[in-house]
Amino acid sequence: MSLKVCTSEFLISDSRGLEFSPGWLPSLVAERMAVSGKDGNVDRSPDQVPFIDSEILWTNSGDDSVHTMVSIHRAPRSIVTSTPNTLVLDDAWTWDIGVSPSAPLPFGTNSGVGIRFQTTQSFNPVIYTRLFRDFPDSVSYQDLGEVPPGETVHFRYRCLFSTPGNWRAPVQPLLLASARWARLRLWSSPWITGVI
Amino acid sequence: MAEVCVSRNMDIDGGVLGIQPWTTPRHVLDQTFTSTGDGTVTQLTTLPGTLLIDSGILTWTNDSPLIAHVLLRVQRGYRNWRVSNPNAIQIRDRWTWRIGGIDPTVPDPSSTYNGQSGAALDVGADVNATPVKGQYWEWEDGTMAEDWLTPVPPGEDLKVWYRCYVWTPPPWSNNANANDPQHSASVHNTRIQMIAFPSLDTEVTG
Repeated sequence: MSLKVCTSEFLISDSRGLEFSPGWLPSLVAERMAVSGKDGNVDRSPDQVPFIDSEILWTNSGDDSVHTMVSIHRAPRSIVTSTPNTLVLDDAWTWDIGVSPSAPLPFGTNSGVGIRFQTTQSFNPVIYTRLFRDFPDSVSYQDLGEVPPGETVHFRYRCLFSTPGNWRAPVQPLLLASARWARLRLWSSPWITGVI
Repeated sequence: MAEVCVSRNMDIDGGVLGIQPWTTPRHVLDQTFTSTGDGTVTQLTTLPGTLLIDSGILTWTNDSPLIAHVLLRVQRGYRNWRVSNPNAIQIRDRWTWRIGGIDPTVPDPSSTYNGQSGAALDVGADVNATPVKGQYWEWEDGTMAEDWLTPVPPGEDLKVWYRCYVWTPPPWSNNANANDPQHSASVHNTRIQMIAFPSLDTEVTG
C-alpha cells in the first residue's frame, strides 16, 4: 500500500505507487498495413489512380495532450516502361485532428518514384526500348502536432499511379507497376508547452 | 510508517527520487558496415549472388527490469550502378531477427527480402543479334527503413542480422552494349541502429 502524493501532469500516484502516465512515454500507438490492389499491367492514366488507400483513426484517451507523428513505410517499388512513356507511383497523405476529424482525400504528391526513357526524337517513329527499375523500401516521417485529450487524429495515405506527359503506343509494349504495400505507424510523445 | 512506492521506471536512492535511463528512447546499438564487394559486376544469374555487406549477428541485451520495444533503423548509403543493354543488375538486402537465446536465420534474400535496387535497359539488337550500344547509369539516394521489434523481455537478447547482395537477373548477354559489356555496382555502406523504447510498469500503475 503506497501513500498517494500530489503530482503534476504526466504522473500518476495511486494506492499502488507512483508511475509516469501513459502519455509521457514515447510509444507506437497505432499501426496499419495496406496492400496494393492494382499491381501488374498498367495503361495510360493522365489522372492519378489509387493503388493503395489506407488510413488511421486514433483517439487520445488519456488525460494529457500528446504530440503525434506518423512514419510512412513504403514497400520496394518496381516499374517497367517502354519508350517514351512516363510511369509514376506517387505517395500522398493528409491529416486532420479534432473531435470528429475528416482528412481530405490525398491527391498530388508528397513523395514518389517514376521513370521515363526516350530513344527517338518525338517526330520519328518509336523503336523498341524497355526500362526496368526497382526502388528500395523507405520510411518518411510526418509530424502531425498536438492531439488534446478526447480528440482524434485522422491520417490518410494513398499510393497513386499516373502517366504524366505525352503518350505514344510503344513497340512491343511492356508497362508494369508494383506498389506492393505501405505500412503506417502512429507515434505518440508528450506535448510539452514549457510548463508542466 | 507511511511509504511511497515507485515504479521500476523510477528509483529512490538515499531518499532521492530519480528516473531510470530506460524511461526514454535510447540508442543501444549504432554500427556502420562497409561493403566488401563494390565494383565490377560479371554474370551472377543465380540467387542470392555476391555478398556485399554482412553485419554478422548483432546482439542487444535488455538491461532493464521492464519490457523494451526496439525500433530497428536501417540506413542504406547511396548506391550507384552501371548496366549495359540488355542486362540487369539488382541489389537486394534483408534482415532477420530473434528475441531470446536463439540466433536469427541467415538473411538470404533469394525469396524474401526487405529492399531492392536495380535497373535494366533493353533497346534491342541489330540484324546480327548483337545488342546495340546502350548503357544506363544510376545514382540512387540513400534510403532508410525501419522495423519494430518487440517485446524484448527483461534480461533477454535481441539479435539482428543484416546482409546485402548483388546479382544479375537472367538472362545474361556476354556481348552486351555492342560487344563492350560495362557493369558495376557500389552500395558503399549500411548503418544499423537499435533504439530501445520504454514501457509502463504494469505492476504499479492502476
